[in-house]
Amino acid sequence: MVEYRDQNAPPGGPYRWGMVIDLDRCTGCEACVVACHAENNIRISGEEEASKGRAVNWIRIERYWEGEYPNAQVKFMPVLCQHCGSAPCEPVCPVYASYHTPDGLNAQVYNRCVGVRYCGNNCPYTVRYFNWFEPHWDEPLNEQLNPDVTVRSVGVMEKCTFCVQRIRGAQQTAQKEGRRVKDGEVTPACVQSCPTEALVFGDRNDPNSRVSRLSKDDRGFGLLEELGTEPSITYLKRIK
Amino acid sequence: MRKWAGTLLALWVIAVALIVGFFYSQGSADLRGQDRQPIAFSHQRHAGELQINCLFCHRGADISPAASIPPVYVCMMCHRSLKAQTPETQKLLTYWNNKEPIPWVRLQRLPEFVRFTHQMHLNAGFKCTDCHGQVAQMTSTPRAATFEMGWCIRCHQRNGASKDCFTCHY
Repeated sequence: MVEYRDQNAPPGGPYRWGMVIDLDRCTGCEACVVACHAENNIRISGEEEASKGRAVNWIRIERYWEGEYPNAQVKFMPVLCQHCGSAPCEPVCPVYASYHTPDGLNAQVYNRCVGVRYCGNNCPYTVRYFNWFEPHWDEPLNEQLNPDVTVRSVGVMEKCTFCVQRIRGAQQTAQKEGRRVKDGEVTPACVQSCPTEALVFGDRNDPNSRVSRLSKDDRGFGLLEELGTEPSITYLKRIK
Repeated sequence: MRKWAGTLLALWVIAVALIVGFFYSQGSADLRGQDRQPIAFSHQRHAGELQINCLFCHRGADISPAASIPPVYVCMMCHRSLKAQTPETQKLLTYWNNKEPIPWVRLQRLPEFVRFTHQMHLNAGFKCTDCHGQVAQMTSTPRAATFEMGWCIRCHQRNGASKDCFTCHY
């Protein structure tokens, strides 16, 4: 029998999910992008749609060139929803489809969304994506859809969820055993697939978790943190 | 004449409301579902008279999100040793001999944007009958509740379970 029924009230206080991205480790291989597409039923956009800015990528690799060929240096930066503590997308939603969960996730409730796109326009990271079309997968890709994730229909906004389906799965196991989720028990698809372990995910309310320890690194910064968005993701980069 | 018109209008409104309400409740309860099933399976016979545990056939219920419909071999565990056959059990044997699954019509269905897990609710101490009604007394198996969001939320409120949107919608 379970000791607690509210997933947001586990023993020892609520969770606060967060991520650390070590840019000194990222090689720009885009395995995270592929894994995210497969895990989260992200529709496939062609070249034409992408050129109109209608492609959907919950996580993308931004590429920066320094210097001229042949002495060029490339720098990579994975950008996904920062799950801001003070998110600009949340107060502008007229129907509360974009809101903050008690465990620190920036959620999008698809069945509430009416598609006004205010949230996407107010996001400084441009990580919210609108469904301009009914999603479509060519055979046999339609057979590999994840049953734990909603297939978003036309007219709703979508975004990174920190793979909430995996978080909830781990929470159910923990709840059954009457304990908290252990550090490293939840890995979003991008974190799981990263070959250099540049991405780390965990509970920021647990001072001993890998995420908590790494985010105190002196290389740490938040993306556009001067805007006061209080991002849940800490980037690490050695400044030379 | 005026007086009559008002009464007629009121009667007409009530009649429309009754008809719409009738069809709405029919849709919610799926009462005609049994007619569409390929075999006239009776829960009253299996779960009631024979007292077979729900989890014997619906094996996924306490270990996975889906309760699952039993495959034909689960039926045949018992049915292969039955001597007397009825026209309905003959149909089952035909499916078994042809190595085909039975095309059951799904009656308990949630919208695409709802994530429900049987496992968690059984772990929390609920019984199948709490949501599905007294299945052991039903020959056909209609939906015992609306399975709409207000119905879920009322139970979550009563039991102190999570009311966060991201519990069921993601």
